Amino acid sequence: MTELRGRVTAADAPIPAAEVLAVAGDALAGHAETDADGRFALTVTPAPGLRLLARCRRHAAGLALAPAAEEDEVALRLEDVAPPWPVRFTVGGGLPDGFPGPVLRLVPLALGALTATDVKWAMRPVGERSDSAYLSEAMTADGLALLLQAGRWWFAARLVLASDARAAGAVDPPPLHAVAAQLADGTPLDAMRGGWVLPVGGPTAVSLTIGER
Amino acid sequence: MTPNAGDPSVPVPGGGTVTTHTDDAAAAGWFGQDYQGPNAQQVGWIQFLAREVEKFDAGGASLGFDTSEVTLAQGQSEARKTGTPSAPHWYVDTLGGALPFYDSPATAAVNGGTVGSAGAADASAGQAAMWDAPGARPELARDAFDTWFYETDVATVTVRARFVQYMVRGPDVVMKGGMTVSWTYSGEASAAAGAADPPRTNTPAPVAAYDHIDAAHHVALVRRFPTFRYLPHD
Repeated sequence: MTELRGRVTAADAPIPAAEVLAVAGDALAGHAETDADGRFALTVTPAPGLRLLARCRRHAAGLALAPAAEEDEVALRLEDVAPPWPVRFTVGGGLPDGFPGPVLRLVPLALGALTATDVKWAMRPVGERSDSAYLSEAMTADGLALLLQAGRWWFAARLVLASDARAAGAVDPPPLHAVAAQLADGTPLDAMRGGWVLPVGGPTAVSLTIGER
Repeated sequence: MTPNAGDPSVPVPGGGTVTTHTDDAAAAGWFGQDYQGPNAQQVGWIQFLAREVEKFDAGGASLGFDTSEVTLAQGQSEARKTGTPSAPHWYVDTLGGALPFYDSPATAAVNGGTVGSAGAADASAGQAAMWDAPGARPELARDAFDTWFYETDVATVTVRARFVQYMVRGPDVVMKGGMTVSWTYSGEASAAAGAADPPRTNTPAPVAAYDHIDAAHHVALVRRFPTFRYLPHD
């Protein structure tokens, strides 16, 4: 067994709570989570071609990848795969009074020069987690600002306000969904799987239209 | 809500009883915790919620938990993340704006709620009962079925709402109970928009005397209602 240590960053800023996977071919050799300073340590069985892959799903979202090295601290930099860019989502036309922004769900389809096999690791089940989105965030009425790695992302948005605590006689409002999405210059995005494909290659602004399907 | 006669009751330290109503008599899905006894007007229920979405293959083997979901609750401003049994995300579950008790009223119109709305309750000089019937959230199951081409096909999805209730009397915690509400969706069509919700199953945890709020719940309480940090906790 060998211990691998390293740090996950984006533009020299640490990325906490990133999931670091040790990958040998198609097999998962081990995994760990970064601390507040972006550092991690995990113990794995040495294997040829062992690589480390960091799933970053917080404010800066994307994948970092580097060969595993026993001797040194491995630097997993998001920008080594592809740079993250600011992406802002807003709801055009506003929302009904008293309603929050919708929940945005994203999945990476292609990131920089990563192979399709590498990108699939973004959504591979690990441990007891088997997620249906790479990143989910509730938008505010003012929108949502993210840093998304350059590439292509799938996203969808919906606003479902069901009751958890329920008042007597309460009826849940009908679910709302993003029914249209366009870039700041008015270019409509291509639809896919109930959402849209968002190309990211620089600062990007996306306007969503919310309505009933 | 109409309770079923004969639902089990347990004694409360200091007097009175708590009856857990797993399902209301009208079979409308409501569950309840029902204190009856002295000083009921000094009694309040604080309820915590953690949601899970578990996927299963055709053989019934678990494929894991979808921890990527974020839900919004009508009348409550805090967005909720789904978790796992070993890493749950707990939230205070109340429409209350200023107070954390289940039947505390909303003080602002947030997330589609209305000012003054409150969790269903029966309150009198001799009774402090809370009732809940959470929404099924088929959209969570829909996402779990909607696998990418390289993922294992999902045959069934169980959406669970795990609730824990603490009965508080004055500054003291006196009882703790629980209820898990689950819905199992079989096949993608069962979670499609417009499909009827599958039957809900309400599974109670024993209610018993308890003198503090567990640490994970206290964190959730203080996050939303910091002035209530004084309640006994571990």
